[in-house]
Amino acid sequence: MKRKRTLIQWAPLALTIPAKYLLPKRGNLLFFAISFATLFSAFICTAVALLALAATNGADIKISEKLSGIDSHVLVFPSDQYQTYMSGFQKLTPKLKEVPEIVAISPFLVCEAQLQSSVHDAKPLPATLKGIIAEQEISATNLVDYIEQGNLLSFLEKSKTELPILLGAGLAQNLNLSIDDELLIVRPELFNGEIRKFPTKIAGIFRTGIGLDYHLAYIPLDQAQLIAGVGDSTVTGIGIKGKDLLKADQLAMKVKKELGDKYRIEDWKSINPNVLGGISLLRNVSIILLYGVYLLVLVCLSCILLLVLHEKRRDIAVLLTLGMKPFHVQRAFAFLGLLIGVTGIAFAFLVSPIVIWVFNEYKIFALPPEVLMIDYVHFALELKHFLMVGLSELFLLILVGLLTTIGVYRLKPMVILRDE
Amino acid sequence: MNSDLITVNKLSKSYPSRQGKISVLYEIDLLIKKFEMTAIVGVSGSGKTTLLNLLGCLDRPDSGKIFYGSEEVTTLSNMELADYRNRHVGFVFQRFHLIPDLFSVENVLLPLRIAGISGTETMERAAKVLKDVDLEDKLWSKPSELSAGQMQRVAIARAIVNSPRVLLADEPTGNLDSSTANEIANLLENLTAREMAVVVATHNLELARRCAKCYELKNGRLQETNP
Repeated sequence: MKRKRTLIQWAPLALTIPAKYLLPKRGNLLFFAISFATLFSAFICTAVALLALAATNGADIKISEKLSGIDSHVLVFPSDQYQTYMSGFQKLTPKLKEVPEIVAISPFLVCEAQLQSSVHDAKPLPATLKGIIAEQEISATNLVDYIEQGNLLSFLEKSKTELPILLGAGLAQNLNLSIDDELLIVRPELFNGEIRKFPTKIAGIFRTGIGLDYHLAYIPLDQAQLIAGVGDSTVTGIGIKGKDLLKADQLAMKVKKELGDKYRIEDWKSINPNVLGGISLLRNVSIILLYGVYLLVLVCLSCILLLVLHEKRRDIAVLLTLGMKPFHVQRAFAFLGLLIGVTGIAFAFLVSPIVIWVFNEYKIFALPPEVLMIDYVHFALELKHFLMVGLSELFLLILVGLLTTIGVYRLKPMVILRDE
Repeated sequence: MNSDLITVNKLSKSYPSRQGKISVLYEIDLLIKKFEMTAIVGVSGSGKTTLLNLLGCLDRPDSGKIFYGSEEVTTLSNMELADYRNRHVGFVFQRFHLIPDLFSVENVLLPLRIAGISGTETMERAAKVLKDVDLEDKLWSKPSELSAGQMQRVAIARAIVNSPRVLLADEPTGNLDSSTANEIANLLENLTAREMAVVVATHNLELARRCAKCYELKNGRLQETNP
């Protein structure tokens, strides 16, 4: 006796018999080749599905970050949309602290002005001044991430002694100014018969990549209140940062419940419905494509199972005469399909993260940032994508395996064995 | 001790065809005893395989009853029949029908695995049965590496490894030369010593003559005959 053991004596027949059929050997090469082709298609389809989901998710994250980047997740305004300012904002702080999902709040005041270079002979440009408390804005937005030159620290330092300003990159470019240059904030209305001008110095330049860069500038809140001619308890609104950017709409509802009808609550999603609608469409198309791809794999798999059922029907008949129950035979052959499919899926699960890392690291798929707000296709693969793809494929593989092999119940073993 | 193993009462079976139903077996009565080899002879298409199908619980009769001992098997569910087949019936075919992807010993231990037995016991029992049929040196041979006689021996080993009550053999010598057919006939005859009944459907009159009883199937009816 050359060998003492065999897998069949230990492992379930439902595993060992299909495994024997999968091995490449003489007389079995066609079956092996078709199995391998199906395995490969399962691999490709799963990898494509993961890439599609990761790309959609990446676009979702990047565009969401862009849209909400220098803004808070949720904004609180006076309920009357014609009312420019709200007063007594400090009294809202304790109420907002009641909402557990709130991470930070930052009051702001927006006013219109013109900016005029004081070192160059440039024309004044209209700008939107946003007055902020820098320490709070750092916590409530991602403004820090968008500062290209200078930093918020110097902005903070300078606000104690002078009037610093953070300029959008487009505005700085049009004014032909750079960091530490001086300029004038010009309020167009007359005050005591004079146009008011406020000398300021550029403490930093930010770039968001969207239109805000061409008209937005930040100054300290107290200075903005002075320029706007309002009291120190008056602001345009309050920005709120929640724990989850993508759940800003839910947070907005909670804030509305907490503050009541005196205030209008907006979240970044409700402010950007068109872009989000586009992303949602992209996501839905991906999911439809995903199931189209699944369908392809399942058709391949059904074909191979029908082929193997036909090829191995004599073996099946033998197993039935030996007392194997049709359900167990069906399970064994369904498992064969599962084995092929799962192997392909497993390879895809191993390879896809590596491919995605390469795509992200080398920014393989570049995009025109002025059109799509992002400069390359960012792939963000998450555990939920593996679960979504893996579980749905597993379910479909089992279903197709069982349905395709249902013919086992109709086999007449003795007729097959007599005729073959 | 009651030696009656299988009792068949008024067993009928017909198959649908374009011309209507064709009656293959008509109100057959049959008694199979332990320690006995019984032959079923008849021309091709006379219904020998159909009768073995019914005796082996692979098909259901239109009417009539089959008893294994005192237990009526015609009323059992499909699942119970599969269990019954596994534990009490062994099959041997004209073309051996070994699974070509498996070694001899793996083919033989299949019924044990189906019965839920696993581990070293399966290997020991399969090896012992293969030794009983003089194939102890062919445990790890694939069917393609065996002669026709050796393949039939492996098939017999597979059929008896679970110690069934009856062995049903459909033309067991049909594919063998006369010398090998004689060896297989000896082997089948020896099995009756294991408290086993052997039923062979055959055209081989030599084999039929070695049986304790011989029945001829003709026009759907079974009658005892002398081959």
